[in-house]
Amino acid sequence: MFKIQKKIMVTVLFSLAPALISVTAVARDPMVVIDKNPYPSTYKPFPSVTTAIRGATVLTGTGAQLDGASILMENGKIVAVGKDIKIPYGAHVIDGTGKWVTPGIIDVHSHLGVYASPNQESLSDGNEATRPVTADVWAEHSVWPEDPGFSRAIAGGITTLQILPGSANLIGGRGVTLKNVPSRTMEGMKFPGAPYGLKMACGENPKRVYGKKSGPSTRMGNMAGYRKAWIKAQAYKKEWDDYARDYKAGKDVKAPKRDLEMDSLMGVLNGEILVHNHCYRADEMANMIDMAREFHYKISAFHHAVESYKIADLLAKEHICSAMWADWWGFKLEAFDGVDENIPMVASAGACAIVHSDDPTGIQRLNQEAAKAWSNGRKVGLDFTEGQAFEWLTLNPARALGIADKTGSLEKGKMADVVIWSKNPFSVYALAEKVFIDGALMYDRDDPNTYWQSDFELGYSRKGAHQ
Amino acid sequence: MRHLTRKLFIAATIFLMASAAQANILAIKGGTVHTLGKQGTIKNATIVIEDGKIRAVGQNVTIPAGADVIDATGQIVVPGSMHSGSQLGLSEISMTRDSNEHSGKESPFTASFDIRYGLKSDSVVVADNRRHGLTHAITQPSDSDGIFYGSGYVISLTGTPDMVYGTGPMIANPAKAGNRSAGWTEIRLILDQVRYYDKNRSRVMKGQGPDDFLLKDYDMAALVPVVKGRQKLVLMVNSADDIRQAIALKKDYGLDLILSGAVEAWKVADALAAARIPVIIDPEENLPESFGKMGATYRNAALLAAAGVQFAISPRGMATNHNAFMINQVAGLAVAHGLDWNRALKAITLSPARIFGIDRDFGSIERGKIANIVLWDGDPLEVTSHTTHVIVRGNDYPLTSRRTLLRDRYLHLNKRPFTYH
Repeated sequence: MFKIQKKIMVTVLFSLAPALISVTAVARDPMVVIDKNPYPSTYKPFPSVTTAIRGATVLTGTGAQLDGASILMENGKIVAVGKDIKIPYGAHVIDGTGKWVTPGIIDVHSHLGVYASPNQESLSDGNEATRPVTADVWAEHSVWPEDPGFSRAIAGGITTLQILPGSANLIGGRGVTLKNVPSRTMEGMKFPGAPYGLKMACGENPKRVYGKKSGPSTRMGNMAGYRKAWIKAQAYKKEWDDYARDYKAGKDVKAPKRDLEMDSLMGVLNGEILVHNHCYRADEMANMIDMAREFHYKISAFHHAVESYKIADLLAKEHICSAMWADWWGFKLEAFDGVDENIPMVASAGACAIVHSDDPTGIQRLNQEAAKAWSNGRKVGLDFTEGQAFEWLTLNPARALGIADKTGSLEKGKMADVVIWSKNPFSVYALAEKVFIDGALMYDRDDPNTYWQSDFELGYSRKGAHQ
Repeated sequence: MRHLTRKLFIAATIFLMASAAQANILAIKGGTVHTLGKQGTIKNATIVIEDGKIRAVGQNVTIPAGADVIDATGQIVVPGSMHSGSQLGLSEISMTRDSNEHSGKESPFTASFDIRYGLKSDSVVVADNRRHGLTHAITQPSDSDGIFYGSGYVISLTGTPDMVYGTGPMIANPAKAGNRSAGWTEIRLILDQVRYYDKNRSRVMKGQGPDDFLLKDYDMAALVPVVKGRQKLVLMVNSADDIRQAIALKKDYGLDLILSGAVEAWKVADALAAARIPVIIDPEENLPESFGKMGATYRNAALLAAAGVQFAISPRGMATNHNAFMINQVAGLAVAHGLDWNRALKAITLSPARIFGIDRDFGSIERGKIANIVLWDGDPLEVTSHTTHVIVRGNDYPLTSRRTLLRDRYLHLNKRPFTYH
């Protein structure tokens, strides 16, 4: 009754005079808009000086190798890369003779901070394994910035990393992209402007975790679980879209009820949150591709993807990245078909290939993993240059994370996330000597003053003793 | 139909075995041979292998007529790598009920648990590690419901039912007792009781001994060679404190001890050297994963070498079975962090052979030893190098595995339509 009267009132007011509309608007509740960034980044680049690296072998991250080249970083950005660049007076100049310079490595799949060292139950915060769909949880709320793993990763040249929830759940929650910097808070590491990720998982893990509980217990059960969630998300999105449309049309409508889980899924349907899909088997990836089409969303990357080489053509056509290990295999049935040439086979089909770690040890030597993949590819005639292969570590993960316009290659205007290597990084003997993030020298192997030591390690070991 | 499949399988097996059949005499000529023996590194060397054993090594070695000859010009020839704590041949796929034979958990056995019965001779995991340059290994139980896991075995990666060379060490993990205090209390009590059991075996069997032994009589029987110092005991320990306890244990019980893990060994390196206790380490360990690993460092290997501790390198975690071949990579990692290259190569070849007391037959390219030899197209510790020949017990194996067959099937996706041919 009341509702009808109100509607009539609105109609009457509308028909009266334009001047009165604003009065009506004031009378209405303010339009409810979901805050998409309630835990905003407080990251500020560390202090930097104008720095030039001269005479190095530069892998640009865009496929090119420049010998005897220089790079100039100023105000946290890359200003110039090339053979004959002008180095301004007063710039700090580093002799790059014999050194290799690359973009900072980006690990698209890490659990640092959510499965921190020490490996204790009380720090096991990566899987909200209480129900199969937990799109409401955000990995950033589990990230422990004190994880000593971050300090190990920087010594391996990691400048950016995505922290994902684990793979126990069909939809495990949101991932967060971080700058690899020491910080008291997660917010202080958060990559400004990076979109959120949504972790989904195919196959064995959800089946294993829920098979004897609530289910799903089968792969078809997995599919039903995702699809039900997407159907709900479509309805939720429609409610919000209708509300916004009607409100903007001046109608006095009530905002739909907030649902944290659905917020994340709606973010995907709106193209704002990128899907990172743990999936091993080729046939399951194909199912996931069909499902993405069914519900009109995009899969940014399949993770682990040990069978991507079987459908590399399909992945190229769909523009979906594969984030892979170089040679891990056999640790479960769905990883039995892993081959040493997966990464170069995916790349040679024209699909986006990424080297990822998923591991606090592997993240420290991702360059070696890329080197193995590169070399194994060459052995079977997949001839990539080292410059091309370095994209697997930098620009391609940046693409999958939606930050390729900001970092991932040594191009003018991008963040100065840069690594100086002791030698060709496609070697087991190469070490990251200096690591810059936004132009600031965050790690210098020759200067113990730059070593980080987390609070947790104080009193147990000497700073930098781990390396 | 089923019969046919089986026949085909048998035929395939015979074919594979025939293709790996022992050539009577095999020679390798022209390579740079790191013998790891007294002859050091020999350029343009010739190796003659007969009946699976090395007959001659040197620059002026005559190749007998009729020998199969491998031209190793431009290649690096080294002893095959040895993993010092694997589950090779004991698991095809982890995390499945089928094919995992390495754990005595939920069985009535601890020290007497015997993996020899569970070895899989045609394991594709063994074949894949072999093509990457691993030729022999300690394969050992991974767990049990007690401190003692059972004995490991020395195997050559032949992929044949006769892969076992001999019994290896007894494996024990004091941490299984629940905490460190309980672990060392229990291990000492067990060793005391095994000694008692050994001396009073007939009384114990008749039920006249104490009835509160910590272990069953059959598990105590399995530990008799350990307390007599005739079988090596591998203790899994990491912290400097636990390593000190292990040193005391060796002194008190006269054990032939090897430590595995040993993440903080560098902190007690001098004491380890003095006690002549060798260690097996994974140079990748540099995270404070637990309070016993707070001193984890990439420099462990280099520091142990400097202190004169005998050590072998073997990767752990993911790399004790499917990815055991990462052993060369982690040895290279140790070099990147200060270990001498020759010491690193030794730590995956001769040192483990010595540590496990099998260097009469393994670990170097010397006359009389078993011909487990690998040819590389570059530095064998470098991640971009590949094996070109892998010779196990004198057989030059094809560098194929289930994984290379899979790769080859999908290498050219432009064949349409796809079929499983």
